[in-house]
Amino acid sequence: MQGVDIKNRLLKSLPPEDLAIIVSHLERVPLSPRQVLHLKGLPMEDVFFVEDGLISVLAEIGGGDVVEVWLIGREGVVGLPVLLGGTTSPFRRMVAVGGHAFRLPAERFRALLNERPLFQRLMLRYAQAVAIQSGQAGACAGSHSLQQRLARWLLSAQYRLGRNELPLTHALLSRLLGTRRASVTVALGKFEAAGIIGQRRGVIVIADLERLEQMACNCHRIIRGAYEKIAVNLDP
Amino acid sequence: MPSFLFRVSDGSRVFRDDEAVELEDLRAAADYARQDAHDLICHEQAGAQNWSQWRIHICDETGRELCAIPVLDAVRSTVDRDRGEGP
Repeated sequence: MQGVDIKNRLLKSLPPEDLAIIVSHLERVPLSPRQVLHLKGLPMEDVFFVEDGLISVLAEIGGGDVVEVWLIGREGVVGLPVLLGGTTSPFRRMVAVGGHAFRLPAERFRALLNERPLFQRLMLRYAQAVAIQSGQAGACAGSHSLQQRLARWLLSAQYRLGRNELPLTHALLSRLLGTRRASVTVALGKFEAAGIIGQRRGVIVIADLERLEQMACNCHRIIRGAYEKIAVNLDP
Repeated sequence: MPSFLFRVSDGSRVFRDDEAVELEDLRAAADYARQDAHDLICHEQAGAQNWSQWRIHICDETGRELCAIPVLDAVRSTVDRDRGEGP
């Protein structure tokens, strides 16, 4: 693992001595589309620090249906319940966009949290960012327009994936936004006509990041701010 | 089960989603389109403008159009059905 170029923002924020110890326990694993990392209700054996790709966190809404409630990319870790002292979750975690991650066994993760105080501090700040995101996203869903929320999700995906090419389907976005697919199709078509995005089969390409940010509600800045604060003054 | 493609037009532009939806038959596809029509209006996609121009086109999986439902008619027929009137 020596000299590996790490993209995960949490790992990158660690002081060198903490990073070196943690890296020695990490295993690089591929993430294949539709691969399930965690099933609802089953003990989580590993946590995953995402390098490339996006993981959907899926909640049940009845009738066997699930919807995406958020996406995890290189800004985070898959398996937050383990950090918070749990072992299971009511959500399924599945790969939405393929890539790779660093796997860390849950037992080892728990031990490292106890042994490395800065690592624990970093991870708890991450948990705080996720809590802020959940709260703000709830307020947003009830108050802001589809266009604002769609812009926010495209920006979020860009941040978490680390690139402007987003392999997200209209179907996935419609579940994330709680709308019918047609409404997402029309909203995306309007962004495309305005030159803010481009589309080709299965891929949305952000063409004008600045204008997309203007389309988003302030919830975007609040949530982004929470993630950006995680690493600030970690070891004062 | 057959697959259908749904496209939306506003009188000047066509909005396409190229991922097909599996539904029982054309009747089910028409119901699906009506629900889309409701949602489009809820999200004010036309900016409260000219809904009369908007249509949902139901196509087979090759893209061949099977029928087009005006968005306003779709909403009207659902209201009638909820009232116990109409087919």
